[in-house]
Amino acid sequence: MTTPFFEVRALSVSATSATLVAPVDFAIAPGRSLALVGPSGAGKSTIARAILDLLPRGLTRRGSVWLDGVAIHDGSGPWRARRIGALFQDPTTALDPLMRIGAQIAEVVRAGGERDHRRAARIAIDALAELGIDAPDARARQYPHELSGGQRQRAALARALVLRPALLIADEPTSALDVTTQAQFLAALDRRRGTDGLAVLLVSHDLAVVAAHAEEVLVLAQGAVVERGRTTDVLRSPQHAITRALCALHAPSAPRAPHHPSDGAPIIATQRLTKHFPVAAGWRTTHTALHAVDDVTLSVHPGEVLAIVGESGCGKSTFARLLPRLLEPTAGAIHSGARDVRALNGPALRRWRASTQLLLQESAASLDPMRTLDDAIREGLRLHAADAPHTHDARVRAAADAVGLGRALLDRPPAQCSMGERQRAALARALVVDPDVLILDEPTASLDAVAADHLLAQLAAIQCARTLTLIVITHDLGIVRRLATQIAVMYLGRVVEHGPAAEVLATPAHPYTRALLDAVPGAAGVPIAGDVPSPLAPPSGCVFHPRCTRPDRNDDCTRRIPPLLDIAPARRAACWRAAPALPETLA
Amino acid sequence: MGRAAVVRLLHALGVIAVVVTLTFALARLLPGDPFASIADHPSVDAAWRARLRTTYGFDEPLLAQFVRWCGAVLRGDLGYSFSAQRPVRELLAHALPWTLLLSSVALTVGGVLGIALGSGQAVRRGGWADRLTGSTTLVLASIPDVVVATAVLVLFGQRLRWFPIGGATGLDGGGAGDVARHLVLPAATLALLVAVTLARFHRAAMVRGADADYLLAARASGLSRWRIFWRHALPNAIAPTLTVIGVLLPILLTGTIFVEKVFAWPGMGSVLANAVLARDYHVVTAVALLSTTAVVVASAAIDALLAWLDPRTRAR
Repeated sequence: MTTPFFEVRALSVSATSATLVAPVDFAIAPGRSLALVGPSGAGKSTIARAILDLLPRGLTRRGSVWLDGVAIHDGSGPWRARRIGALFQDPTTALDPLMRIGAQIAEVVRAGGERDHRRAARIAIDALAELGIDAPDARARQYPHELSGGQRQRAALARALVLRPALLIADEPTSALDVTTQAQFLAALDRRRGTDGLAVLLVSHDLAVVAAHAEEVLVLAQGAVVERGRTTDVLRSPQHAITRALCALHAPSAPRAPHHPSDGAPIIATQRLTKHFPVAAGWRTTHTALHAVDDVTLSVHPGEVLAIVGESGCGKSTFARLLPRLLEPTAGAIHSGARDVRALNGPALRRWRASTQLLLQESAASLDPMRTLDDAIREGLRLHAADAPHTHDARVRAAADAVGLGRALLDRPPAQCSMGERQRAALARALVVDPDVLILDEPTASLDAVAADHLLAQLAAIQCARTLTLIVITHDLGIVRRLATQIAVMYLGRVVEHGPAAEVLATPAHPYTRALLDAVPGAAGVPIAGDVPSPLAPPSGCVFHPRCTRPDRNDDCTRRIPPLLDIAPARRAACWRAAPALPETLA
Repeated sequence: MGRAAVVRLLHALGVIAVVVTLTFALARLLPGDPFASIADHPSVDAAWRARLRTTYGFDEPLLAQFVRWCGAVLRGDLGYSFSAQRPVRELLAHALPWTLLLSSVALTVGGVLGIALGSGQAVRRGGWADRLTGSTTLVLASIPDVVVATAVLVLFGQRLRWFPIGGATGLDGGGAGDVARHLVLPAATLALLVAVTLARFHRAAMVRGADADYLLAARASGLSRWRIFWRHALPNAIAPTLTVIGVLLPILLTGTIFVEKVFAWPGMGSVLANAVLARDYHVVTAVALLSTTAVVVASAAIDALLAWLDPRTRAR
């Protein structure tokens, strides 16, 4: 064994009164990857920032960091980005919104010693190209908000790697990304490990990512290492309780059996539902339209759990907002039993909205910061419940109990609660008015693995107890496996596949569904390339054709839009090549 | 883009029309008229009094007066100032350059000082310099303008005699040097008032943005603190500050009455104060027209600047 290449010796972090991270030692060899895992608050990110010497005010680090036998600290000359690159969690905020992508990378090149502005700009574009970003020249001239989340994160990676550092510290680099963009990103990272011998320190709460992309793992809990070793060994036979708990979260669960086929009327049925957002184009009123939801015909029966999956930008959230009519559809119909939802107004519309509750993705932002949780939960009752106010106390408490929200928390404002507690309060607020349908938009996106697991368990219990109908918007196939009885796959505003969860997961009919399943960390498939095209100008014919890898795709795919057709009992897909023996009349 | 500009222009013209109409009506609701002090004396003959008012059209219905005034304004005639005994246009043409000089110097100096103070405070937030500056700006922002102006006048004008106390006459009187000497005290007072307001807003904006991930990422990218400040922290925090400047701009044009009065600066503030006291309708309405136009132009300019700074607002 030669001397370790990157080494951390007795690194600890303390605040004035408490130790946040107990002394930790580890080493990473070139081309290798080490993961720090643990529940939130375990000190993973603190260690990452301590290595970079970028701790928040009031925190001090002890111990030393060594690279190639030389101690690295603030006095040892410029080393950030040159020797140690860093990448932080949220691609939406990691880049300066006011500066072009190319300029943000070029300024790092210039800080690294390049004097010539033109050459710096050239190097920046090459760095983008190297990470498989298409049209890097055009991307370099764009601003962060003009790029998708995945493109932004790859641009941030290009900046972190442009000076060819020996080590990359990546703090939850893919937590905010779709499963497909996550797969593309991690594949790009693995390539750099192979070609440049880049060492990677990966901070993650996602054991599936860790299992596939890190050789070694350190499990942390409350600022101390509780277990360490080769990833395969640690995950196969976890020793510590925390590690076992984390592994249990990621044990693949069998998909749920389809809900008893109900012959009754669907509780929500949409017909050719469409939402286009007008986009002002110029001087004369030439409008183009953003095709958010296109021609969606779906029905949900009482007691079903329908998961709507797809990458971001596929219209899932817009569809969720159309159902309670928080957005008005451009065309199409929504029915509930015999009721025409689009014709409702006044009190009838309010009753419809009370019975179709929407839980928004950002729980932190969906609760009024000036009100206590009790207030927030009670408000729905004041608006919708017919019974006397003195019964509200009991109903608020019952809702809080149902979601496992401690009563002591009810008197607190959201700011004094954790993300998990806030999300449960938002859930209690939705449940307190006794809805028939609950729509959840990425319910666990802002939660760590433990809090997410807790919320999903509660949701499953509530759904069974009340025979609630759930519509879950998600890009996380783990949630789909755990909760869904039915799956609808959306791509660019259209439903491309719909059917019972177990069958769709086992035998995906549409190439896009296949691609989503292949992108799950550790899956054998090749991750799908490219990004979702702009909904301002959807591709002709089958909207998926530019990314489709089916060998038997043909001219039909580029010319004609495939309808969503029955391919098997209870299963539908919108693919010219998936439909078995199309009747001649339709072709 | 073009369409939005036209809508914006129509909107602006609407604002100007409403403000001018209100000012025209409100000025006439004040008891008395431009001749109250001379014509209403008991010794003045009633017939002559009536004839005087008929001559100048003050006996007509308010609406007729307004229509006539609007017609005149559209022809470029702002009316006549009875108290100053000269056309309103001449009066304003004389006062406006003085005000523009004073407010532009005060805004530039105060703007730079305020942004520098606020930025410095934010960079060293929590330290003694931040707290000292914070309490000083709070005290100065709380004291009425006129007190600050008087204190500056007494200290630097009367006691120390560094600068003249008032009575600026113009280039033909004492030359550029004289104007500059007279400018120092009122400009410094106004600049101070602008700076304390801006410093408070700017510090808050900088502190709010201080935890942004892109600043952390910039530090992790090895950029110098100086570059991070100039290219990332400052541009991202400047929007609220620019908005405040947009609000201050029209106030500086007419709202500097106290400072102009204290330092006997012959600008728009002095003109407006005299006109209100003398019920000089035409002057009051003309100043309202001018200042409203300034508000509208200033807010359009600031919006354009914000759009240029922030690509996200440009896209919409």
